[in-house]
Amino acid sequence: MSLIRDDARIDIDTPFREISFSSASAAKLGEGHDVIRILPDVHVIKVGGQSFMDRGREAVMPFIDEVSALQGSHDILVGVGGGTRARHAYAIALDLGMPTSVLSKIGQNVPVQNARLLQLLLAKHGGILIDHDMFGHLPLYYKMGCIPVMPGMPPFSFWEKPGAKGRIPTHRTDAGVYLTAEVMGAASCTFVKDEKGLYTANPKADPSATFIPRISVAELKAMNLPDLIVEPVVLDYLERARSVREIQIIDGRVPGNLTKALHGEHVGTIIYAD
Amino acid sequence: MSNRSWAGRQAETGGAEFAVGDGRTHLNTGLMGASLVREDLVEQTDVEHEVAMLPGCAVLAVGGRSIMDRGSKAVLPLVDAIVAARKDHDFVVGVSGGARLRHLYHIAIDLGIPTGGLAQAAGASEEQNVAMLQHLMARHGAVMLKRDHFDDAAMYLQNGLIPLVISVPPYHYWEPPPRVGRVPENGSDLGMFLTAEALGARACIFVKDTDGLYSDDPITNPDAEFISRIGAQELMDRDLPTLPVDRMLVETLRNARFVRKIQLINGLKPDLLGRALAGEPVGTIIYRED
Repeated sequence: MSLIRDDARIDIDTPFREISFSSASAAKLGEGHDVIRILPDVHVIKVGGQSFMDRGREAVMPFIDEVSALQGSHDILVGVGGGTRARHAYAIALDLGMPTSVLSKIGQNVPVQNARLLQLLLAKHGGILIDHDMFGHLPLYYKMGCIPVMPGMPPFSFWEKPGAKGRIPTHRTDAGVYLTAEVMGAASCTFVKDEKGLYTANPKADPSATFIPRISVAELKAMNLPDLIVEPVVLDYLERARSVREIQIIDGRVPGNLTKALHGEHVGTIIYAD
Repeated sequence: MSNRSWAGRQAETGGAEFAVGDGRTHLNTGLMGASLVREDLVEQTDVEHEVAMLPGCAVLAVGGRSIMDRGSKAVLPLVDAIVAARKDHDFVVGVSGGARLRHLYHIAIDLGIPTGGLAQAAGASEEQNVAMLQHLMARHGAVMLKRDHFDDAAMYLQNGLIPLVISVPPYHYWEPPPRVGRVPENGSDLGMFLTAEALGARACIFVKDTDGLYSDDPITNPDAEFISRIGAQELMDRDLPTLPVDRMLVETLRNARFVRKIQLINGLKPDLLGRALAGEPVGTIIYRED
């Protein structure tokens, strides 16, 4: 590869040189290549904000015990959601007429609070707080037996796109943690919530809702459910993913569920891409 | 559009009220207990007028490959035009990565790096370009605005400065897997548009090396037809073989709340910049239809 100087510009001789990134041919570049898994042994765990953290000691302490027991035999990354304080901030911001970009920005703070709480509880077992900029340090942390805890919100901040409808940011902590697992090429991605898994409707509001143990993204999309236990964008990204093509949603309040899920057992709902 | 007060329940009860009983401790607001996924709830959050942050400000996006990679012949006259226009207009300026970004993507794909890794590494090419622009314009008040420190933008603009912004959106490792191939879909053009949306800017102008949008690349196809004005949806429907801006920008423009049109102008004709900032159509306008 060399520099190319013509009358107009100084260019670099690559196959990308003469094509716009917006062209159909550019988009196809790289399609055939394999993708490496950056940290293939890491198990990514998403802890729900509303569904788990807001339950306090009763839910969180047994979870801490289970994670600390897994430390040593498993590399674990814990991501955490926001919960009711995030909803409170969104409610005030919506009332003030704020756009999606601002909701996304202020949506970052509450998961940081929850990550700090989890880190304090996990500290004696190696829990450390990481932020988005510390990703390059992860191999060191695992070498030292740490359990990195990160806020689940992706770093999109003001750059969250406005949606077709409404002002709630479409990328929140489920998307952030799932995308973390996908870019790492993680061993697994488990969502720890307070329900057995996915139901045909919200089981808290609709007692007739039925449990779905295993479903493909295509089947799930075809059902067109009015409510979902994960953010809908996660389904889109599962279909396009190169590495992490399934997630499991479990009830973290059942002792042993997390350990079984990390060993590949089916204890909740598995959503997979064909 | 709903008139529902999202903080209403909280206001009625005179402040934060805890709601307990289902094992979780909630704060009582219009979103209490919600999954934030339910479609009817999401739609209810629409409002007629959202509040803009800096509605008098414009956003200028300078092309990396189309302008910067041409060096002094293209950049210096454009810099003069930007400095001159600053007397009459408030704006922030960003620039994309150009040839080095293309080379980086090529090497990274060859190494098997996933899309998030490409996105994380991408920003450095653009940072070099914006550092050079800042150097050239420093004597005229160009200052670097740190990532999302938009609170500084108000101060800089009120003091007549020229804030320079990072163009690539901060998706980094969290860049969603693209629909096709491996190249990140959320590039500098989209980032500058989203900066304009976040600021609630009055205009968003893309400065490139052609007169605007053509039905094909005008440099390789001399028969390409010039398009002076087109809707974002119509442009997507036409499915042109190439576009002078990120495809994702055109898609996102359909949902714009503040920046309901963008203009593409030719930066090799620097006098067009002031006219575009004054609201004149001097290139191609792409707009949100509804």
